[in-house]
Amino acid sequence: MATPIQMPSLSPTMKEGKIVKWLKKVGDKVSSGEAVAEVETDKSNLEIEAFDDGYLLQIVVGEDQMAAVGAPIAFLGAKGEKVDAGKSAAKPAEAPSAAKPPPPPAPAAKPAAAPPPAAPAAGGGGGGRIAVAMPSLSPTMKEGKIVKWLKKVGDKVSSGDAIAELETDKSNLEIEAYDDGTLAEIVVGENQTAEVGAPIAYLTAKGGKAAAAAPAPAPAAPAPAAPAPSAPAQASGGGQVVPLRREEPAAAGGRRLRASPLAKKIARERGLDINQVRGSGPSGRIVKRDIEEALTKGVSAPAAKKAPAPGARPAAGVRPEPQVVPLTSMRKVIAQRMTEVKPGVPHFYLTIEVDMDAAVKVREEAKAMDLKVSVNDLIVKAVAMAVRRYPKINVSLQGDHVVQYSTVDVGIAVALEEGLITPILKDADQKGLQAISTEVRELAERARKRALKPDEYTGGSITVSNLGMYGIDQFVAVINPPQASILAVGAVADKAVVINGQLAVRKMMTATLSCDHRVIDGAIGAEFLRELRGLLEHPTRLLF
Amino acid sequence: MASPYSKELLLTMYRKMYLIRRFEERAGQQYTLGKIAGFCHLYIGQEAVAVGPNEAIRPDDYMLSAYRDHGQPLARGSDAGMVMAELFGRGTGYSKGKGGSMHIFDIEHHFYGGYGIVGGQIPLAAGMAFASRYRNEDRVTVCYFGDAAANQGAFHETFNMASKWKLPVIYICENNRYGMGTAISRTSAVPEIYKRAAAYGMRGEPVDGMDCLKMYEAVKDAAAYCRAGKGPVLLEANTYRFRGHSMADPANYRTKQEVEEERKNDPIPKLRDYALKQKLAEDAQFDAIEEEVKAQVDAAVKFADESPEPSLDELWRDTIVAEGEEDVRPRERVLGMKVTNWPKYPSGQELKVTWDLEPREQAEQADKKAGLSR
Amino acid sequence: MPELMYREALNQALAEEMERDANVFLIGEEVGRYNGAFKVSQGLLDRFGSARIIDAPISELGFAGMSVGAAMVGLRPVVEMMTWNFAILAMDQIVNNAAKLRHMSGGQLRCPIVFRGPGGAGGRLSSQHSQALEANYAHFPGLKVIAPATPADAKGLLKSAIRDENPVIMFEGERLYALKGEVPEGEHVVPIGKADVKREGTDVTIITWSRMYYFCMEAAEQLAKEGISAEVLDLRTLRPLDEEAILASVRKTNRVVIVEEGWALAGVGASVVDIIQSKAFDDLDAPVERVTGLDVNMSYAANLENATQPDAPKIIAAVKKVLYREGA
Repeated sequence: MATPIQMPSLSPTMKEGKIVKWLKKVGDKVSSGEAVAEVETDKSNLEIEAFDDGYLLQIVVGEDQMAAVGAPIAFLGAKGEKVDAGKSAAKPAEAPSAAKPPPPPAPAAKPAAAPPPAAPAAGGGGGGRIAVAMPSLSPTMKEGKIVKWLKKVGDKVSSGDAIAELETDKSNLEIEAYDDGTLAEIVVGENQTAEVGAPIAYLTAKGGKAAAAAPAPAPAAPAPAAPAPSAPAQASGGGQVVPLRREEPAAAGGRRLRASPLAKKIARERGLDINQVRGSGPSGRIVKRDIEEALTKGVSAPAAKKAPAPGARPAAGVRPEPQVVPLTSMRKVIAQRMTEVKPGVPHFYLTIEVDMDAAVKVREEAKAMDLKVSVNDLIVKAVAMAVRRYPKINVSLQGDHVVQYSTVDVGIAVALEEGLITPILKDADQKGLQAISTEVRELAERARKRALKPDEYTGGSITVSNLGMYGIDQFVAVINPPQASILAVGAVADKAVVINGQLAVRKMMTATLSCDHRVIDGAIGAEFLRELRGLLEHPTRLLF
Repeated sequence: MASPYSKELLLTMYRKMYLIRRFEERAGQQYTLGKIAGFCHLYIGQEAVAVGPNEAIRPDDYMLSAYRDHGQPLARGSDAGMVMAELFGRGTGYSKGKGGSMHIFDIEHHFYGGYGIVGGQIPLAAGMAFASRYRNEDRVTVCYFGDAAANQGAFHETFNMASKWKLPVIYICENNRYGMGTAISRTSAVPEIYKRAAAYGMRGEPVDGMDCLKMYEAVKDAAAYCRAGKGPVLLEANTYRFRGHSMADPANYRTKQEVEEERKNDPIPKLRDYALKQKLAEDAQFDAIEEEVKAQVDAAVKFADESPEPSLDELWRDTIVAEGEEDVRPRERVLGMKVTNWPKYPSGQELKVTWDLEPREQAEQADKKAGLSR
Repeated sequence: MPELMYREALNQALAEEMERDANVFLIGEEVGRYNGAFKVSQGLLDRFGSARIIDAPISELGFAGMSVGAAMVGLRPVVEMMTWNFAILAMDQIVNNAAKLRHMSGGQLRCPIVFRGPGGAGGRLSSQHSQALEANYAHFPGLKVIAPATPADAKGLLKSAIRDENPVIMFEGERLYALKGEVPEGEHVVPIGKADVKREGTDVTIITWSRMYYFCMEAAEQLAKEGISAEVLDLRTLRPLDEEAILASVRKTNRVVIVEEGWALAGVGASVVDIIQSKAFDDLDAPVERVTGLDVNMSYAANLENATQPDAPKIIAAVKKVLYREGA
C-alpha cells in the first residue's frame, strides 16, 4: 500500500516548507532513515527522511514548491505499485504563494497525526461576532440588570472600555469589553435583567462589518429555520422593551464626582445622595468623614426630578409611555423583607373597636394648655403601658430562642417618600405624653432626612402603624421582624353605637393587632388588647 | 581468548541500545508529524554511553543527565510508552506531560532527571553523592553532561567540592564534539575535558564512547573506586551524535563525509559483530530482539498517541508540596502497578551521622600548611 | 521569657532542629570554624561536627546546587548565604532547579531546603552589598519567602522553614542580628504564610516586613502622640502573601501605607497594592501610599545612604498623606 511522505515539522515555529531539491527520483529504492529531499524551513535547510522502506512512487510537491506541514509531498510503496488517484489528487500550491494544505490524506497513522484543518477564519477571526456576556461580579450574583448602555450600536469599542452600567445584588458596576470591535447588537436593553453568562450584546470583531443583522454564531444544535436575529432595539429574551430614561445623578456642575470608593459605598448603603455632599479631601474628594458628617447633620433632600404630574397633559395623540424607575436600595430591601416575612412569619389578627371619646378629650385638654399631643401619642403611650403590664407580648423570636425584653421600646411606622422606616421610641412606658410627643416628632423628622442612626431603628417588640390620617377605617399590617407584633390603627370617626341599650354617637377607632404565632398565642394578644382598650377608654389609668 | 562477558550481558546491552535507537528514530518521526513539540534532542549515535555505564552500576545507584535525556532512562528500565507519552505532552507521561523531552524523571528507577540549563545538574549530582556519604551508604551517583557544560562555572565549582570531600560521583562527559553548532575545540583552551580533572586532584580519563563494552569497563572500575571512598571520577566519553543538536538543527557546521565516517563507528553493529565473533550469540537472536523492540516502540507510540492530555486540574498541582502530600509514583499512577522500590530515607531520629567530613586535626594541619597557624 | 538577640534566636532554632532531625545540615561560607560571618552558627561546629556544619568554598552556585541535590534524596539542608547579594550567583540553582523540581518531575521529587542569609542594607557598604532582593524570589512559584523582623519570629519561622517540604528563602538582616527581643524557649513555631498585627490601630494600616518594621513602629509611636492610631501589619511571609490579614486590616482602617526597603518597581509592595485595589476597592478612603527605597543604587556616603532608605519621617509623611492631613 502506498504511504505518503509528509512535509515534516522541523522547528517549533515551522508552518510550511519549500522543497529545495529531491535527492531521490521516482522509482528509486528508499530505506528508513534515508534522506529523500532537502527542504527549506523558516529557520534553515534540512533533509527530509523516509520512515519506511520502499520505492518512491510519486513526487507530489516538486522542487521550489511549497507545502504545509503535514501535507504529503511524495508517496512510497512497493515496486511498480500505483498511487491511489484520490490520494495524489492534491496539488501543491505554486511557490511562492502561501501554502494551502490539501486535505490531509489518511495515512497509516491516524488522521489526528496531521495538523488540525486550517479553518481559523471561520471561528473568532476577522469579521466574527463576539458575544459580550453578563459578567459575574460577586460571589452571590446570579443575574444583573443593565442600568444604562454607555455605547450604542455602531460605536467602536476597545478592550477595556466600559460599555454598560450594571446593577447587581450588591452594587452598581461597569461592564467592560474584552475585545476590540464595533457594538453590533444590544440583546439586553436598559433596565432589563440577564443571567450571568448570557450574552447581553454582540461585538463585530475589528475589520468585520458592523452589520447589526449579522447572523448569530451557529448554535450547538442545528437550529430550525429561525426568524432573523432580533434587531438591536428588540429584546431577545421576549417581552416588551420599554425605552427607558434613567434618572441621571445630579452631576453638580457637570464635573466628575470625586469620591473615595469607601465613601461611595457608605452613601449607597445609607441611601445618601452623594452629589449633595461636600468633599474635604484633595481636589474636593468626598471621603468617609464627609459622608459621616452628612449622615449626622443631614443634607437637604435632593431636589429629585419630579415625575410629571399625573394631570400633565401629553401632546395630542400621544399616549404617554409608562415611566420605569429603578428600585431604590431601600425599596429593594423593603420588597425583599416583605416577601420573606409574610410567608415566613405565621401571622394571626385580632381586632377591637375602641371608644375614643375620653382619649380625644385628653388631647383637647392638652391643646388648651398649649401642648401638642396627638391621639397617636396617646396610643403609643397606651401600647407601652399595656406591654409593661403584659410582658408576654414583649418578646421576639431570634433563631431558636425567645428574647424577653425588659424595657418597653415601641416602634412607630413613618412613611417616607420612597418607602417607610420604623424609628423606635425607647422606654416609652417611662415617658410622659409630652416627652413622647416631642420625641416621636423628632424621630420622624430625622427619619425623613434619612439621618437615623442604626440603633434608632432597631429593637423593640411591637410597632404602631397609624393610617388614620388617611381616613382608613381598618387595616392589617405586616410584622416587622424580629418584632413579634404590630398594631394597625384606623381613623377615629363618629359612629353610632349601642351603649346600655341606647343608641349613641361616639368617637370610635378600630385597631388590629398582627401577632407572630410562633411566640404569641391568641389569648395573650387578646388580654393585651383588652388592657389597651381599657387604657384608651379610661386614659386616667395611664397615670398609674 | 574467551570473552569475559556473559551472553546475557551482551544481549541485554544490545537490546537496550537498539531500543534507544528505534525509540529515537520514532521520536524524530513523531516530531515531524507535529506530535512532539518544543526542543527535542535525539540520542542517536550515543547509545553506548548510556547503556555501558548502566550495566556497570547497581539499579539503586543514582543517575541524572542533561536535556538529551531519553537514552538513560530507557537504559535504566523506564517504561518506553510513558517516556514517549511525556514527549507527546500527555497525562500518562512520567511527569504528567509537565516536563516534556528535556525533563524525564523516573525516580523508581533512580533516574533523577533531565535538566535544561547547561551544567545545572552537575552540582546536584555532587549533592546526591554527598547524601550517600552522609548516610554512610555505598551508593554512587552517575552524572551525564555535554562537552560544552565543561565550560560552565558549575563544573569547576562542583569538581572542587566533590574532590575535596571525596564524594562518590562519576561524571560522564558526553563529548559529541559540538556544543550545539560550535565545535568544542573552538571554545576551549583545553578541549580534552578529562584533563581538567587534574586541576582538582581528581581522577580523569578518556573513554571510547562508541564502544559499549569500553564504557562498561570504565564505569565498573570508576564505581569501585568511588565506593571505596576514594573520591569522584571524570570520564570523557568520546562519542558522536548522528543527528543535529535538536530537531531544528540542519547540522551544516559539519560535513557529510564526517557524519558518514562516524556512522561506520556505529556502536550497535559493533556490539553485534563482537558477540557474533565471540560466538556468544547468533544472528537469529539479534533479529528476534530487533523484532521485539520494534513492536515495543510501536506500542509506545500507540500508547502515547492514545493517551489523553493531562487534566487541567494538574495545572495547580506539583508546584508546592502540601502538608502531608505524598510523592507521585508514575507507574502506580499510570499503569496501576504496585511500586515497591521507591526510595526510602531514614528518619531524623534513626539516622546517625558518623562521617567526619573534615576532622579537626586535618583542618588544623591544613591551616598550618597554609601558614595560618604555627 | 528570655531576651535574645536575633542571631541568638536563629542559632537556637538551628540547634534545636539539628538536634531533632539528623537529616538537617548547615552549609555556607564561614559557618564552621569561623563560627559564622554574623555569628549565627556560633558553637554549632563543636556541637554537630564537620559533616553537619560545613565550611563551603566561595562557590555560591556550587554549594547551593549541591545542597539542592542532597535535598532531592532526603536530606534537609540549610544553606547560609553570607549575604543575599552573593546569592545572585546561586540563583540558577534556586530558581531553575529547587523551585521547579517538583513540577518537572510531575510530583515525584520534593526539595525541602532553606536558603537563608541577611538581606538589605548593612550600613555604609555601597551598592553591591546593600540590596533588598526579596521581590526577586517572591516572583517564583515553587518557592516560599519569609522575612521576619523580630527575634521571636526569626526563631519560629526558621523552624517552620526547616520542617517545610518546599524550598524556603529566608531574608534576615545585617542590622537585625544584634537586636534583642523576647523569644519563647523550645518548641516555638511560627507558621509560614501568616502575617501578624504587631500594633493595633484604627486610622491607618502600615504594612511592612523585616527591618522596615522598626521604622514603622517608631512612626506609629510618634503618630499616636498626634492622635493618629496606626495599625502595623508585619507580613513576615512574602510568598504566599497573607491576603486575609491584609484585607482584614484594610477593611478596618480604610487607609494604607506600605513600607519596603527594596525598590518600588515590581516590589512586593506593588503586589500588596494590587491585592488591595482588586479585593478591597470599596473599602479604600484614599489611594494607597508606598514608602520604598529610592530608585537609585545605594551610595557609601552616610547622608546619601540615609536619604536612599525609608525612615520614620518618610512613613509619617505618607500616613498623613493618606489621611489627607498633609502639612498638618
